[in-house]
Amino acid sequence: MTTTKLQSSPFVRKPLKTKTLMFWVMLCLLPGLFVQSLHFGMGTLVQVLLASTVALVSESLVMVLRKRSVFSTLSDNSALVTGILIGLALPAYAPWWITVIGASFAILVVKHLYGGLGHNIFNPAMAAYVLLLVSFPVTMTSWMPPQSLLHETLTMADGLSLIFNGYTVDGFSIKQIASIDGHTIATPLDEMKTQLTLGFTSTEIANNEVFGQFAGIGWQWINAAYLVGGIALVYLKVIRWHIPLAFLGTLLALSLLSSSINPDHSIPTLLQLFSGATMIGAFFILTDPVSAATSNKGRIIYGSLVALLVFVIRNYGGYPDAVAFAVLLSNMAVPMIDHFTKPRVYGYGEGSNNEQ
Amino acid sequence: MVAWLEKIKQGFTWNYKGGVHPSTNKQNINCDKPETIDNPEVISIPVQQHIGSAGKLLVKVGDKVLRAQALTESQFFQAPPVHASCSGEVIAIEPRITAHASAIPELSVVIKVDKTQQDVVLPAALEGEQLTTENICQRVHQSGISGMGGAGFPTALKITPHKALDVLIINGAECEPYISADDCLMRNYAAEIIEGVALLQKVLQPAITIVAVEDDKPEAINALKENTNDSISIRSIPTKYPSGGEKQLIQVLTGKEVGAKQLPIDLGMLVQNVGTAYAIHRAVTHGEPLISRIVTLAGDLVATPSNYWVPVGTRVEDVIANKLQAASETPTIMGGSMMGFMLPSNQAPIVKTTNCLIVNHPQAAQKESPCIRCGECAQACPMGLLPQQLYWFAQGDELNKARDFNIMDCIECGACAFVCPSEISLVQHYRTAKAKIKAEDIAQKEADVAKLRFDARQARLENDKLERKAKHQQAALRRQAQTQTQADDKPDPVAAALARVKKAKSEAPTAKQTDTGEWVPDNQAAIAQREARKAQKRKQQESSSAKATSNPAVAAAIARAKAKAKKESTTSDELDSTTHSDTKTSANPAVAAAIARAKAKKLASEQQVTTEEANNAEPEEPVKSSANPAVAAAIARAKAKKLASEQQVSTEEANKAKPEEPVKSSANPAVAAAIARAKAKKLASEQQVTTEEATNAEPEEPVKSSANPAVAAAIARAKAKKAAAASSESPDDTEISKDENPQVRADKPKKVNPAVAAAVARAKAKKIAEQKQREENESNDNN
Repeated sequence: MTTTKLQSSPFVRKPLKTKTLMFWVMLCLLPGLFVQSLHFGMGTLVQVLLASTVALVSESLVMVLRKRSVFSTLSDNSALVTGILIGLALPAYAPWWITVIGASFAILVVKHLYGGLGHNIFNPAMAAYVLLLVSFPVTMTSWMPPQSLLHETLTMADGLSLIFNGYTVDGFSIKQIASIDGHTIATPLDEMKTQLTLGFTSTEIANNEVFGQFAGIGWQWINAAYLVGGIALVYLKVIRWHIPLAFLGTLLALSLLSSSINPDHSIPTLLQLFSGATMIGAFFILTDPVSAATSNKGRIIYGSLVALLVFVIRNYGGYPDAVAFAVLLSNMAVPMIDHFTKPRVYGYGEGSNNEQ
Repeated sequence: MVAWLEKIKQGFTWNYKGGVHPSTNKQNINCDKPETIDNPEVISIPVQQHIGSAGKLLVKVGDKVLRAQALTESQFFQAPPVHASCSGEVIAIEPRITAHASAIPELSVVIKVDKTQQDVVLPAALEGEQLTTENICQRVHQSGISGMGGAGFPTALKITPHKALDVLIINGAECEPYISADDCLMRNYAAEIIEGVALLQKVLQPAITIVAVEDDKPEAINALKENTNDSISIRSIPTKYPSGGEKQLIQVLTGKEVGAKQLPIDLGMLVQNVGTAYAIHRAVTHGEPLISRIVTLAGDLVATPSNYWVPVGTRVEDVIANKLQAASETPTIMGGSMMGFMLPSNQAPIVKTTNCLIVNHPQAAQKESPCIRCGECAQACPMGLLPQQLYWFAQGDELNKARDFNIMDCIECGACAFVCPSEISLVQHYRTAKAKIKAEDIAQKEADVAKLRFDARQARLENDKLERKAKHQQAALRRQAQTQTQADDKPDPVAAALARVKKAKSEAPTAKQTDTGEWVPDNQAAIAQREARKAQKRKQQESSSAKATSNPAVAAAIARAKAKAKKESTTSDELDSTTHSDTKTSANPAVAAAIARAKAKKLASEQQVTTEEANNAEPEEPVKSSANPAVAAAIARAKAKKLASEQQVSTEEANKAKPEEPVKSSANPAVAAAIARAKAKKLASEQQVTTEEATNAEPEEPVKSSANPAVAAAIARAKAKKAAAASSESPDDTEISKDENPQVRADKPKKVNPAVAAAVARAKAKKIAEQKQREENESNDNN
């Protein structure tokens, strides 16, 4: 009489599936991607596409090797999200092999060597970013100045040529393009760090045109776009508010504290919050469920820990930005956080009224 | 406490963490007064539809049963009976598919329903005075009521008051999607429910009674409010799954958590389902047992989702027949969509706990994808568990870890699986893990018991071994001690005897040689020599008899014979020897007694006896004689008499001997006592007795003599008579043989046949009597 297999309860489920979640994440990255491409050129888009492709190919390869269904694994969209995040994290005109190394490392090593989705300890995109950063520091820090600061606008052809040949169609290298009036322009955070070490006060440095209105030309809007996308994620209940809020809140608090104590030698609060990878990190990277803490309490601790590390590294470390390092370090702390934030089980401990 | 109750009374509700909001799917379900479905042709009633045990069957195949007739019975509340929900004929009592996910067959009474539908005579309503706690509980039990919320706990057992109750909660939350059976009941039978609740109040005497209904059932709440009284408050609680769970409902209404190992009653709370309250009302005020219930029929495929009264035992296929839009291709879900189960077969019957049937379109098979540790399940869990961790442990078979993470507290509500974006059948994994843990526990318990048994057995065996060893050791020690004492003592008798023999031999080597020669009776030449050595021979006799143990009777006979012979003579030497022989034969007490009596008489007639030796011997007797104490006693008595009649006794030795008695005598104290008494008498009457020699011999006798005493007794008696009648005739020939016999005995003690010896003894006795005269002379000579 029955043709379908017996199933076990529950027979109703929430419609939000893994692939839907991942899909929403990608969708909410779009504003950021758009703004980033606007400011840094089509190179960003190229990187995203390239990284995504490499990620998907890598995952397929692993699935073939592991004799699993390629389609069903790819369709959970998790590799795609990793690829997109790597593409967004890389300098827009980084050479193609940088992207290939990063994306394949993220999927092959960081994700699948640990057992695939759900089993990785580290955030794949961030682990790949750190690998690239320590291996190719110059290339990885060679961010182009925002398009508005460039003398010449780069065409799509220039972008592709830069990425795949190293030179624009006209034969300029990335260094030549990136220099304005003879000196290379770094990212606002990088610039701030360099200038601070040179003895300038942060207020003086902030007058530099690279800092734009409040947190650097381009960067401020990119971060704002990620903030919008992130809020949408929270609204859609794809992520919970605990990690972003804890992270941003802690970073804000530490920054305010630091600024009030030593305003001249601290990175300005707005720069902290709206420059670099702050917003994409808060909503899209830290909230990777696999490598983050699972309980709400744990998530608050986790977010705060990342913020603390970011603050410390940005102010006192050797790298201008710190989200990747902070995330990896915090990933390591997650099992312990989870251990100490186990929720109280009903009927046990304080609230159980056992004495009655 | 009071403040807390006051807070509850005021309508305060608490929240519990976790929980989910699945779409209820109840909007289109008809909750008007439910129709009763057409009687099916066949019903199948499982005899156990509750937690507990099944009652005793009252019907057999072929019986005609009436509606509401009890099919089982039990005096125990944990085994509520089941009743025939339709009248008809019992056509089978056998295991049938039951309402369980496994469809495992369980013993069921199958009834072929007839057309007439007659009711059994229902018990009268309980009214007024009859409404006692006991009567109500009994009626609830007899009506087969078990919890109708899902678990099916026997209601009578649950409501039997044994603890003060603060809060009685009537559960009308009905939080699961689709199910609206309770909603329907509350809407249409609110008054009856309230009456049932009043009965529960009567039984349980709670401080507060709350009927809790989720706020998505406003009609039900209104209906209840219209019918309620002051003592019952109707509480609307937020709609959230699983608020209808006992623990969650308690938390919502009272803010308290039921401890891990507790029952609600431990907190002074009790939860009953509204359906149960209704059933109690029907049972108490109408006498109706629980034979039908409201079942929701819902799902995509159901033409008009609605509630129906369904007789318990109706098969699912009969319920859904003609009510579907199209033929069902999916298994029917029994229960709600969160905690229900798919029935492998629609042959399964409706039971007392069945509240819903869902027939849906075929669903795509669940496709589990990897857990992404999103933690949504932990947020949804109303028990505060970590489902994702439990899932890892369950998958990895890490049962102990799972246990540490409180998997056993999982209520299987399905909230975690409901929210799981990876569509993992978490609850199923937990069920499996829990079953494994339970199996492990059972195995562990069995292993523990086995270990206990094994250890006990080992201990017992070890103990037995030790005991045996100890016993053996003791025995060995005893043997050793015996041999020791024998070794200690024996050197005395044996060595002494040997010494005596040697002495005798050395003294009379020629005599022996001549003895062998003297077997020939015609040799008369050496008579003079022989007679000269007689004393020596007697000594030999004594010593040899001490050694010779096989037949004491012979010796005794000889001794007696001698005694008689001496009877008439006044020489006490021979008398002494007889006493020796007497004591030698002491194996049989009767013999000894007879001898003793004989001796006593003898002695009585004697004029002068030297009893020194006898006295010496007495104390030693009980020490060495392991034989019957009676013998010794008799001897003692005899001696006592003897002594009493004696004129002269040397008391010195007697006195010496006495103190030794208690020390040495390990034997019967009675003996010692007798001896003591005897001695006392002795001493009192003694004049002058010298018994030294007589007693030297005595001690050895009881130890060694072991032969047939009866023979000796007979002989003794015979001899006594003979002796009494004997005149003074004593031929020489016999005298010789008489002398020889003792020697023979001495030489070959072990080979002597007692019978032969007896005969010999008799012969000797005669002889002795005859040669009285000569004896006298010889003994006198020796003396």
